[in-house]
Amino acid sequence: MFEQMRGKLLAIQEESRAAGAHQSLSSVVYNEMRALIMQGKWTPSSRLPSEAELCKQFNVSRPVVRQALAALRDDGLVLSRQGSGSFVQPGVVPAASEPQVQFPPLTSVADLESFLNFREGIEGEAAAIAARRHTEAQLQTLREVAARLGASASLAEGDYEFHRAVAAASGNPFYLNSLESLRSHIMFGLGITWTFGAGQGDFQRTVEAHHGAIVDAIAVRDADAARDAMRRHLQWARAKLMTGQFPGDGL
Amino acid sequence: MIAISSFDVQSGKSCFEFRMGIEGEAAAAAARKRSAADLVTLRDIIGQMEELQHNGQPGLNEDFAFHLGVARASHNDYYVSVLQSLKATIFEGMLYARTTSGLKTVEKVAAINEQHRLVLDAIVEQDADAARAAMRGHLLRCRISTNHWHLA
Repeated sequence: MFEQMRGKLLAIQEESRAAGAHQSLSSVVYNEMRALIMQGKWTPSSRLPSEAELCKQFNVSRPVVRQALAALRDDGLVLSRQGSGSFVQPGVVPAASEPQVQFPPLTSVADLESFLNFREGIEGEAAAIAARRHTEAQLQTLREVAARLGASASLAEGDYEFHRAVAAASGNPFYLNSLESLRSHIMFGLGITWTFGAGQGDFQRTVEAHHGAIVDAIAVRDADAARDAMRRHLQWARAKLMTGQFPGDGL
Repeated sequence: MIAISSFDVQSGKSCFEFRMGIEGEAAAAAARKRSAADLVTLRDIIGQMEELQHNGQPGLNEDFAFHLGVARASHNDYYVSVLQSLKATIFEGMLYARTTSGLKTVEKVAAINEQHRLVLDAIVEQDADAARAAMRGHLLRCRISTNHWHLA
């Protein structure tokens, strides 16, 4: 894919040398519009902005816009209706979105150690961004998911859903994508932790208190506090898992 | 200046934000866990980029190799796998940054090399906080340079 991109840009540079600026500009605009269609930003059957609007949007002249639209019509991506404007073809299928982040499987306790370290890092950062950028709706969802811990199919499940909801509240698809890709890893660790914790009376209450502290920090938009609360929670959970204890249990 | 909207600018910005978090942590871990061999590798890569800088070349592969090298120096495969998964997206971002910025390639690469050096220095000193800050600062500058990509 990188090779295609580089190929395209080199081709544009070639064109501008051979044919003059006018032609290469329309190639670039054509590629921009094509990307908007393939990413699903201009949806199938929807009407494109007017030529005047497109000139403004891409900061180019009308002939450049017209040439780009003609190329899109040739591709079969766009059709023009006399007097109505241009439309994205109904049958266009947008390309896949962001790449999935892939993680190595857990094959040893050493892997588990690395993974738990990694969780602290990534989830601390996700919490910080969630603090800065969450919407009211995302905060509401987060509160609901936190409250549902005890009501889930399993406590491990409910715990995972909370951590996933924090990643969702960051508004950054890479964090959410990562938490979803790591679901089986996280569930593996949580399965053990909750099994060990089952016999310990206030384990669930402590987890709920930790989750509450994370939500509170996110709610007041304190990124540093959110990061700290998340990291402390994960450090506590990891110490519980690995050693059975944590000095000064709780927060 | 032509308005660039493809490469999904929003996704590019999200990716930089994500990388700031992840690679900051990876750099901190590298400061704590790095071996002598890791330091040699990282110094070599910076050396290669400085060579390329003098020749006015962008050094994309070497730039990525540096970031991957820092992740490897953490001795935590999870940081390494993130970068490897995102390799194509990272290269797209680097390519666009180098072809669309107003700066000459030589100036851009010089700035990047300087920022990479700060990261390496902190890792050599085993200063986790400084390594994190240096890596975040570097990626933040990269992210800021995408602000001239006008959103459609």
